[in-house]
Amino acid sequence: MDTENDIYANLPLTETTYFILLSLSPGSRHGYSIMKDVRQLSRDRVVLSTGTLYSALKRLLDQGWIRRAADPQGSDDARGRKAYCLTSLGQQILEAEVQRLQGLVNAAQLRPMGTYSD
Amino acid sequence: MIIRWLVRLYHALLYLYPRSFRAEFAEEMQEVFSQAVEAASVKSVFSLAYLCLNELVSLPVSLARVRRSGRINRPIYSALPLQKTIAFAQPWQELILIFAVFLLPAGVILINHSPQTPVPIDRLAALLFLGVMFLMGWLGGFPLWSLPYIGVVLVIGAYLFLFGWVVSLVSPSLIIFPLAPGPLVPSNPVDRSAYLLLQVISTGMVWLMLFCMTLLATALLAVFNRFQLLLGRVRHEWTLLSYILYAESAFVLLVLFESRRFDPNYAIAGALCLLSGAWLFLRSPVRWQRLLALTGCLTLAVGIAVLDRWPLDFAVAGVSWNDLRPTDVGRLLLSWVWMILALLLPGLLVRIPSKRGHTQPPRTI
Repeated sequence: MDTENDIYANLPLTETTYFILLSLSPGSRHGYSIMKDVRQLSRDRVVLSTGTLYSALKRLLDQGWIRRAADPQGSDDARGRKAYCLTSLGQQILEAEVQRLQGLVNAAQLRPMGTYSD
Repeated sequence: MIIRWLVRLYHALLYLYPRSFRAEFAEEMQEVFSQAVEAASVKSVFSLAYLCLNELVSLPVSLARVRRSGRINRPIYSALPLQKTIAFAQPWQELILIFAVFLLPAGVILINHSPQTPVPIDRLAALLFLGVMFLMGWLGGFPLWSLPYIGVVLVIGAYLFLFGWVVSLVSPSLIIFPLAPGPLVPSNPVDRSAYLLLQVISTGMVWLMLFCMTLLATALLAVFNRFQLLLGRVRHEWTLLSYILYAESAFVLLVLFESRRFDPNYAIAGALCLLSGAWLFLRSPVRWQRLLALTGCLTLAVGIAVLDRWPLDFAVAGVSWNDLRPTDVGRLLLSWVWMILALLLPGLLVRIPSKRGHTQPPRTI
């Protein structure tokens, strides 16, 4: 129950957080890959700078929503590239946010758009 | 050429971030930036210009976020779970610092009561030691080991400066019926009931005063930047307030009642119980277990103190259950009830609604 409350207390997510979590949902990614994926997912609307990305990653690490992981491309080497992946808490928060957004869309679909009474 | 120049410039800009952040992320950030610059330069000059402009514009915001996060949030959340940060993973010196506050009073009593002791330890020396430990905690921004010392200093301060004033202010019983050494209570049953009630209330007010002082002291300390860590920990884990109050209860139990002590062995046993409570508190991963450790061990220590005073109160003084004269045992039991309530009171704080939901981490980044 407390965990459930913890999850819902963190909603709604900011757009940046949402896209970063969404980008990490299929598996681990490194920083540059997250940047590219966020841009693609948002159709060029959200363009992360490295500063924004890493301040967000730091916060998510501190909150325990993501954790460091082995680089999926096996290049966790001298170039200093590190990968990140969702924790179970991060996954739950993302799912809860998607569910919330879905609820909003469902509610909108119950009303026909573009019809005004006055 | 331009790429190399841009990467060097970015490397220089990274020095604007706090050192801890740089140590953790600078290498990665530089790597990601150089990849992004390479990719943008292949596309067009405009892409490269957009990338650089985007970095430059977002720099102040990300700097502010990182600095704010480093100052306030990180210590709060990295402080938990409790048992991982302060239990036996810490150096042995820290453990001694944590437990000295519980062992010291018992040690002083043991040494002073031993017939072989050449020179008894002055209580002032013990208080001086506690003061030094408190100062060490202060200078370190009150890390977790120093929390009991806050409690000790608060209780000494309250005893010396506030106790008489607050008690006389809130408790007419102490003016109407002075506490010790026991003038007989009124014979009229109504007056006797009122007397008993006032005894209960006056004892309660003392513990309520200690609770409020603890709360106030924590809030006042948090005004200073260096004590943000303390406030953050307390806001996130309210049982730490109970831990401070536990140290206050332990100190009251061990020292303030010491002058009327019958057998020093009981003091040692009581101190060991209180020490066990602190140890179990630090080792328990779950909140209710931590509270159980504090309340259970405090109850045991009070039980031992009651056994200690029983002969004095009932055999020597010849007091019976029908006599409502305030005895040490009665006062101890009353204090015990209020001590337990005071330990549980911080739990009510988390029920106070807050705009941000103060028990939760900030939801936006």
